[in-house]
Amino acid sequence: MADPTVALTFLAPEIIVALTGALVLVIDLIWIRSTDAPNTPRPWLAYLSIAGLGLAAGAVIGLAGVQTTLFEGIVILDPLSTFFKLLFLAIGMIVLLISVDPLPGFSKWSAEFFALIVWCTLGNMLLASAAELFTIFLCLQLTSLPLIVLIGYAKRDPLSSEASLKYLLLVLVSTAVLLYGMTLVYGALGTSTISEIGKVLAEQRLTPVLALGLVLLLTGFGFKITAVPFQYWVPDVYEGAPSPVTAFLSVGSKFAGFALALRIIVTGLDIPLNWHLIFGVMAALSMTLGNLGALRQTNIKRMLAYSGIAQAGYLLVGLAALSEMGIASLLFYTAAYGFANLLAFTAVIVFANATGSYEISDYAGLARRAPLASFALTVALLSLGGLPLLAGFMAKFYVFLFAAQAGLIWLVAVGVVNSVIALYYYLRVIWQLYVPEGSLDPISVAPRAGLAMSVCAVGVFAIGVFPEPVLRASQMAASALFGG
Amino acid sequence: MITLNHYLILAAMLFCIGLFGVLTSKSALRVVICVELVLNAVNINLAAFSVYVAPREAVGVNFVIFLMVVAAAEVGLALALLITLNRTSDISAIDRITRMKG
Repeated sequence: MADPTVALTFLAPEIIVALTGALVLVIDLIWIRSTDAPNTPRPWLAYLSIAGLGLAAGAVIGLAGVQTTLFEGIVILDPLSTFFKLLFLAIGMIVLLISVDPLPGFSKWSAEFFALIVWCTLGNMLLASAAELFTIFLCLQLTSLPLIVLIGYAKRDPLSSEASLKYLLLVLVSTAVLLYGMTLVYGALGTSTISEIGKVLAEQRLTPVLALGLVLLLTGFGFKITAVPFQYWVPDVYEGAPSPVTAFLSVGSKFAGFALALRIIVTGLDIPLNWHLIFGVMAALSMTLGNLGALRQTNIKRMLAYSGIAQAGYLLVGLAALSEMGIASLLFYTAAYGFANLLAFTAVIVFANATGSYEISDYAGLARRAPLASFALTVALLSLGGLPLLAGFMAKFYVFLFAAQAGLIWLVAVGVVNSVIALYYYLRVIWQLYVPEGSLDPISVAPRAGLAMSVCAVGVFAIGVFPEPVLRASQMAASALFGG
Repeated sequence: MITLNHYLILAAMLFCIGLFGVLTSKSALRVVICVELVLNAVNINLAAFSVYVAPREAVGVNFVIFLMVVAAAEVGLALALLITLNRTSDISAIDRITRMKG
């Protein structure tokens, strides 16, 4: 057992992130006290937060080789947690970058906004490392509570408050149910650390109490990853939330759900339940209902919400394979999907800042007004649709390949049919951008948004053309999960 | 003699009452109150399991304290949000919050 102070050095990235959030708040307080114009925009607070997250990313990379458990098995460090932490930090940085410009009316409160995004990232990172049921719950709350505030941040916009209330009630109910499940598992097995649970499960038969506990746990993460049948809240919350928060929600919180699910599920594999079938059906339903829902949307945020449900389905295909390579393909998919979705949302925010609208019909002829942003949105949507040379193609290819190797041919067939349906509504937006005539006033793209779009676009192309580095990282992470 | 089962049955009853309330209430405030019932069921479960199943580590009883803090934070957030909603739109009934339809 390591000395606690040594253990704390292994948590350096998390400590840096926590302090960054606090520092942003304190500096902002001092600044407001010393100025007579508290409403001026303060983008440097966002840069400070990004620098903090960057520092933390450096620390994560520095600790990349470490594979250990801390505090009697409560926290675990392995390639899987490293993979997810880097992903969450990257998402946090990009979201901070794109949330500077859409906040003109809230300049006075921007520090709190940035600090909450930073702490939400902290919750996500801890969730990737948590290996004890109740710690997992606390980390989940650390990601959910800031999100509730962030979703309702536009106080004067009734849609935002409404979305926030819906998300709040959902979080309250789902976490209460999840907790009840956790207590049942804890009571049935007499332990709450994941590694011990794995050991006890291997020798014990499935009792009704334990089965109920596991099912309730599943619902808890189902809400987080927005898979059917836990998806009905998604479109409303995505539409009402401020756009950068929607972008954050659509990737960060979804991947946090997967990070948590992976750890729990791999320990529970010995249980005589047909996990292939459970996740396969969830995946097929998510893909189908998500895509069918997206077909009839006129609002781009709602369309991306339904597309996100469908994407959760593709991710679940990787999980349903339940093989090391299946999990690796899931991890690869998260990276590819993360960049593409953030790129799409950045472009949507650029358009909304200029036109004030999220209706797809108002996108007519935008390609002539903002060629680069339109190109970015095109790339993002084509990647989400899975066209070759882009990240989404490789991601879908690997997911389907390893699902087929695991014998889930029917699921692959459903997935391929769904990819074709999805192309229809992605292409409809692109058609709207390029074909109809519209107004010709050029839209200026703020340099921050431009930077965010370039980073994401480079990510999408790089993963699509040179998938090896990310694939190797995901394979390492997946094998640590199975071998450890 | 009170055994573990008595505590578990009490907790299960509280859980069911709470869940029933969550699913049938029309007021957001009542949903929040019912969620508190579910959380109390969790607390009873935790304390009982901790004492009867794994008394040495006492993980459960420790966590009850954490849970109370988290529940207080949740309720604080919920009330703040309800007040905001009330100021902007004069409603707290969830069945009337239908500006967006899923």
